[in-house]
Order: sequence, then C-alpha cells, then structure tokens
Amino acid sequence: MTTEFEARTSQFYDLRNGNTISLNGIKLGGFGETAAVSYEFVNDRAEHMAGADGIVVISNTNDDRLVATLTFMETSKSYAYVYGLFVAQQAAIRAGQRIPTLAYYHEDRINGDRVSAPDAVFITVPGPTKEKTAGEREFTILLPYAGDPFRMQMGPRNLGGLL
Amino acid sequence: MAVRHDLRQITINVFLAGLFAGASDVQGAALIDTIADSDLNGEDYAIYSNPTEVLAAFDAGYLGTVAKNLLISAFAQDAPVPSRIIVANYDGATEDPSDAFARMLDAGLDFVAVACTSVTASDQIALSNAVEADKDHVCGILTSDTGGLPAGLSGIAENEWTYAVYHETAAEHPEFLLASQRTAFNPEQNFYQWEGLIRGLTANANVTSTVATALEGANISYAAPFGTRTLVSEGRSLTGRPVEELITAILFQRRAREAAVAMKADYVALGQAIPVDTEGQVLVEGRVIRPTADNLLSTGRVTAVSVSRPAITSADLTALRVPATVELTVARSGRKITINAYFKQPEAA
Repeated sequence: MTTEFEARTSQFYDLRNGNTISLNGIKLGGFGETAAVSYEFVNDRAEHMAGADGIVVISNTNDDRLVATLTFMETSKSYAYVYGLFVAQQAAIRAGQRIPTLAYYHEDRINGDRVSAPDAVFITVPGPTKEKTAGEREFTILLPYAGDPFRMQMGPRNLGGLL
Repeated sequence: MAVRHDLRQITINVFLAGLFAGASDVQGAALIDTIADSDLNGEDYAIYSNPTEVLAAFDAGYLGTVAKNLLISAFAQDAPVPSRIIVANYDGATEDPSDAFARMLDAGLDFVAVACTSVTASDQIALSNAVEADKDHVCGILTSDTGGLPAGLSGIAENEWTYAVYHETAAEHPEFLLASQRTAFNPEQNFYQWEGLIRGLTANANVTSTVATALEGANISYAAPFGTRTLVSEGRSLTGRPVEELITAILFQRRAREAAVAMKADYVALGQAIPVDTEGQVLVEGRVIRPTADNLLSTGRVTAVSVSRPAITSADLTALRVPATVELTVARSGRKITINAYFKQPEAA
C-alpha cells in the first residue's frame, strides 16, 4: 500500500474561534458577510528577463510588502475602532509627529497561519455608503515587511505530526 | 559537563505592565560619585548636556574634579556626542553606589550604562550586584590588577551584566568613557560593539603580552594603541558575553514594556480586559512581543525570534498575568537570550 501525502483525516477550520486578528492588541470582529481579511503581495517575488541571446536572468525583488484588506459590517464595533486608529494615524502625520505604532497581528491557531507587522499604515478607508441593507466597510492596510517569508508563517499546523 | 556558549543563555523575567515611565531612547550613561566630591547642589542627581553646563557646575562647587574631568572628556569624544550624561551621588559614610543607582531607578531616569568613581572593591561589588539584580542596565568597573580580576572582586566574577576595564591611571575611568561613548549611539540604528576609540587616555605602560593574556582570560578590557589611536577592547562582560548582547536584551525589554503600557492604556480606555487564557497570550504576542521582536529583526540585532506560550499556571491566574516566552538569537554570536515576559492585567479602571 502506498502512503498518501494528503492523509485521509478530518481537517478543521474555524474563523471565529481559531483566528485572532488584532490591531494594537484589540481582537477584531464583526466581519463582512463572507470576507474577513485577505492578503496580497504588492509585487511578484521575482522578475525575469531574457537577454538578446536568450540567457534568462531572474531577479529576486526582495519586496516584502503585504497589503491586508479588512472587511467589516458597517454596524460593527470593530469598524469604529479601526476608523479611530486611522484618524489617530492621520492626526500624527498631519502634525508632523512620529506615526503611532499600529501593530497588526493575525494568527490562525488551528491552521497555523501567522502574519505580523509592527508598523502598519492605512492605505484606503471606506466612505459611509448607505443601501437598503447594512453594507460592508473595507480598509486596506500596508504591512511593510510582513511578507518576509522568514517572518510570516503558513499553515497547516494541524497536520504537524504528519509533515 | 563542559560549558557551551550556545547553552549559556541569559534568562530575564520581565513584568511588562506599568513599570516604566515614558519612552526610553535606550541611550545614555550615568556616573556615580560621592556627595563629598559632587554634592550636586543638594540634589540626588543632575543631568548635563554639554561641557558648558559641566564647567558651570564645577565652578559652583557642585561637581568634583574627577567627575568634571570625566564629563568634559566624555563630551570631547568622537561623534556621536552624548546628548546627556547623568551624575548621581551617595553618602560615602553611610551608603554605597548602589543607593545612588536605586535612586536613579526610582526617579525613572533613562540610561543604559552606569559606572562609579570609586575603585573600592566593596563599592564596585555593591553596584555590580544591584545592576545584576535589575537586569536592565550594564555596569562598568575599573581595575588596576595586572593579573586579572582582583581577589577582592572574585564575588562578582560571574556577574553577567558587569564589564571591567583595566587601567593604570585610576582617575581616567575608561570604563565610564567607553559607556558614554557607546551609548551615544542609537541601538536601533547601529549594531555597535562594546569597544571604542577613546581620546585622552594615558597610555598603559604595563600591558605586556603576558598581562594582556591574563586580562583577556578574565574577560577584562584594556586600552592599547590601535594604529594612531587608543582602542578600549574588547567589551565582554565578566562572564565573557559580548556586552552588545546585553544591549540587545535591554532594548527588547524596554520596547516591550512600552508596548505593554500602551496596550494596557488602550484596554482601559476601551473598557476591556485581556483574558488570561490562550487568546490573551495571542493578543499580547500580537501587540507586545512580535512587534518588538520584528523591530529587532529589522535592525539586524537578532537573526531569529521564537515565541512560545507557556501553560498558564494557577499563579498566573491569581496574579492575573499573561505569560510569554521569547527566545532571541543574537546576531554575530548566535547565542540566545530568553525572556520570560508576564503581561499583567490592567488594574481596575
């Protein structure tokens, strides 16, 4: 019998109880209807080119920027809290002061994913759109070095004994 | 069992909430003198920012000659010039330098390294032991014994947070000048080593290769020509650990305490409490431990960070504290610093 890399065991996932997404140590909640947080690298990890004679050169971009998109229901307490952090950051920038620490931390205790950044910066904030039903509010936050592959961690941890 | 450097970890217990007043720039040195020599106009301490202030205090009779000369020399070293130097005093008849050190801590003064003008063994031991217990500063002591650590100081031979400098001219105190010059650098910008080109030192006449071997064997630094300059090297604590590792530990714990104070303030302001459970550990890790460690990674002071979550004990529940353990792998040596951090629950708001 051959062994299988992907063992036929039950696997678990729980956004509410397994995940802690925090800004400045406060656990966030009240996420959107389906979206909570998503991440995107700003650039590809490598760029490549071919010389005139076909020699391929691959350049490592060393760009560890990661952008997190947080989605909340407009009725959530976290929406107000995160917007307050944005206002504090803007106030410091406009006053020429050192930007207050904005520590972003996300850990999935079941799956093992982890993203950490001590110096997050707001990129976009939502406007107060109104519709028939409650809407969602989306913030994008730059996590300057969080994409460092040696700093972030990818799951799955719940397979630890098998990997 | 033979000693292994990689297993000789520093272990620090830090209680992170509410113990630190304000933000530290993790820079600056302090000099401790006797009241008989430096009465500081009746104050426990004074802070000097430039030679003009030093000379004015000396002319007014507030500073002794040794302290004055040391401060003038400290401000005359290569850039970066110290932005401030603290002088504190103690009653030589009834106290020792550790009393002045304690008063500086009580006053919340911001400094990293401390030395005293006294070369009496009992004074040096008292100061060294106080710094050893505090684990948040480094202590410099002066020795003039060519054979290594003098017998009178054997009691502090295993003190991790103390470094010694051999020098034949006692009044020059290169251990203090080294401290003031090194701590003028910002450790978040410079991964400096604890050795410096010091101006104005009288050359040591007795440091032969035999003496040098004895001093190095006891982890004692000394001044010797280095090109056309005089280098005080090589900056190890009495146990042999490079002092820059201790600076890394100090930097981490001070930044962690500041983050903990900010987190506590946020929770109090929001009317929230941090749970003493795994999720509380995750939140503390995300706000206090990881950001601080990430910044150390960015400065290149550490090459690896490992955070673990000890089981919450009944003692932790009683004290309403959230424990975390951080292991920092120090750049250059690869040795580790282990910090047991306890985040205490905010008091009732």
